Amino acid sequence: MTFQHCIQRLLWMRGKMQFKLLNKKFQIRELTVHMKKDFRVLSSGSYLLLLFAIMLAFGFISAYSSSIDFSQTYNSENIPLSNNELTTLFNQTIYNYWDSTLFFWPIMMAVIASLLVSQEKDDGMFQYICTYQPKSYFIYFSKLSVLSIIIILLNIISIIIFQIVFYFVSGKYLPFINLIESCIYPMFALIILSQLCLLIGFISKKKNFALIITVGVILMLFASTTLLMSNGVKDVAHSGLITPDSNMDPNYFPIQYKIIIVLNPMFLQEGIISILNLSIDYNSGIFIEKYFQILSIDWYYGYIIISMFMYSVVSIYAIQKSIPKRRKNDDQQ
Amino acid sequence: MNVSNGSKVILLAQDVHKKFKKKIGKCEVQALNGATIEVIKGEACGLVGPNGAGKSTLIKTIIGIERNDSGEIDINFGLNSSIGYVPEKSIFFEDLSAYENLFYFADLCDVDNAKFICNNLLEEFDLDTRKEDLISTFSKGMRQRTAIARALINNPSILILDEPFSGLDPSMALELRRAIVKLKESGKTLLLSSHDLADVEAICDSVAFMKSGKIVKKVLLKSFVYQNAVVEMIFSTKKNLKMDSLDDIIEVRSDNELDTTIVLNRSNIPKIIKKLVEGGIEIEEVKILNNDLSTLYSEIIMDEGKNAI
Repeated sequence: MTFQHCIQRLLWMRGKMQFKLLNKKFQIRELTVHMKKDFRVLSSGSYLLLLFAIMLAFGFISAYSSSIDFSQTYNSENIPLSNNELTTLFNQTIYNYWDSTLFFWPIMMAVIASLLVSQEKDDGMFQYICTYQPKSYFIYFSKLSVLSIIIILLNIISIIIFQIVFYFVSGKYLPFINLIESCIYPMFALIILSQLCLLIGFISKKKNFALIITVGVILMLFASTTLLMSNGVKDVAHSGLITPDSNMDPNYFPIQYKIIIVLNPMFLQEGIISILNLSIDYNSGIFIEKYFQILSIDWYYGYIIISMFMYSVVSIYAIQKSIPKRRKNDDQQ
Repeated sequence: MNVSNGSKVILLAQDVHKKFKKKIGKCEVQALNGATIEVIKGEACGLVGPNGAGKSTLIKTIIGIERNDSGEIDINFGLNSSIGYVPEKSIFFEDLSAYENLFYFADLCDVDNAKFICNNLLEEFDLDTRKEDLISTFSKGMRQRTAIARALINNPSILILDEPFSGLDPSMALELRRAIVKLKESGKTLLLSSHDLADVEAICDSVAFMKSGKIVKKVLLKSFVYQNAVVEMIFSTKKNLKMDSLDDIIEVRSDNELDTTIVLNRSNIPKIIKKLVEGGIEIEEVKILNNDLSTLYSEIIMDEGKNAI
């Protein structure tokens, strides 16, 4: 191969690369078009603002209540707390805040996610958009991105509200790193939950049907989490086998616990306890600690990746089925 | 499929079958039963037929919303072009303005100079004064015009309108008809499904009659209907007129002492009028006895039905 051939080859490859990049730019443009529309549609409906306001109001009440608890505990100690004790108290306060705040969020996010899709499907707009033959994955990722942005914003605003309220009540600042860390699991839990609700929206034809199924699924998830936790704690209390120092037998917890947990994104909330190194009371603390010890941190990330991938693939497939396949007879002459 | 009688075929659906399964009762409905239709470039083709004939299903199958069980649908696009579709029920983002609704689709189709195109279309359909208003505040006629403007956003090769006049009051229907006629005059290829035969007659060059999931006949309006239409002409007989001198008259009646009525084919009107005027006869009234398309409709659809019985 001569030098000239090499140059020609390189130029050809550069041209091909440029074409691919241009193509990519165009594709990303389609994603932003859908995102702009989804944001606009969400913001134009009054229900989003209302739900957002309710969620933040809950956050404010929880922040105030947790801060009061912190102040009372802190002031009731006669001797000054050590750094470790103070950190644990801060973490406990953060956990209390999320515990009471997050109770309300999943159902709200589920309703928003479900409405974002089912509203369009109900009035036929989704089918109409599909006649323009958009890319199914852009439709999906647009909605998911919009919901993720809302969830991230919600978390950031909640942290800021909490920090401000905490400062005004106790005169102290919560460790910012711990606050950010505590956001990770609920954030992912809500994103995965939104994916589940998007999927329900995509496979439902009618808005009301989608909403009923969504609310039903969320209630089931709550019920299964509560059941799982109470059974697990009872097991721990009665067995006497598990102590904080004991090595956990990975097969101790029955398989149905694991199945319920795998199907339930809400268990990620419990990750806050792990990440903040907390135990609520002895038995539940041991249960959660040991249980999640079995799962391990890699398991968490594995769960997050697998769930996100699985819900995305099924949803994109559902959208793909709605997009018309036309036999084009392009006449370029 | 590119050329038919020297004209470029834009759309060709051949022997399309579609069956719907009812959820309850497990029975099946044959919505399309070998429907075949051809639309050539620049043609305005009407699609008429009774309720349940399969017009909307055929349109949805052409668009791709419904999938055909068998048969072929070929759409001969030009470069970077597509189908414009105006659904029967106008669907919009209700909480967005007319401009925003159009702009989203312009953006989705990556239309060059989208803002200009949107403004231009809104102006063309007399919506520019209300373009910032929410669609939810629009009347049905305005919604239909917005729907057509939206369907034209990417300059489609063919515009398919599914019952655009349904539910409109006469004045709104007239406005919409004018807008569609304007489109046709600009050379846009149209496929229009409607129950209103007067609208179809006013807009379309050809009409496809659909019954029981089939296109039973497609006729060119000018060459068929107009040649066969029968017209009643009433004029004063104060002046003596030799009827024998008038050819091509179907019937002559003397309704009273003053008036005479002649019945003739529509194609002979110019010739007859010329003779009447030359003879100094004053024409008082001209009536179309059989409303061209409706007669044809009843002949084709009703007779088909009788034959079937």
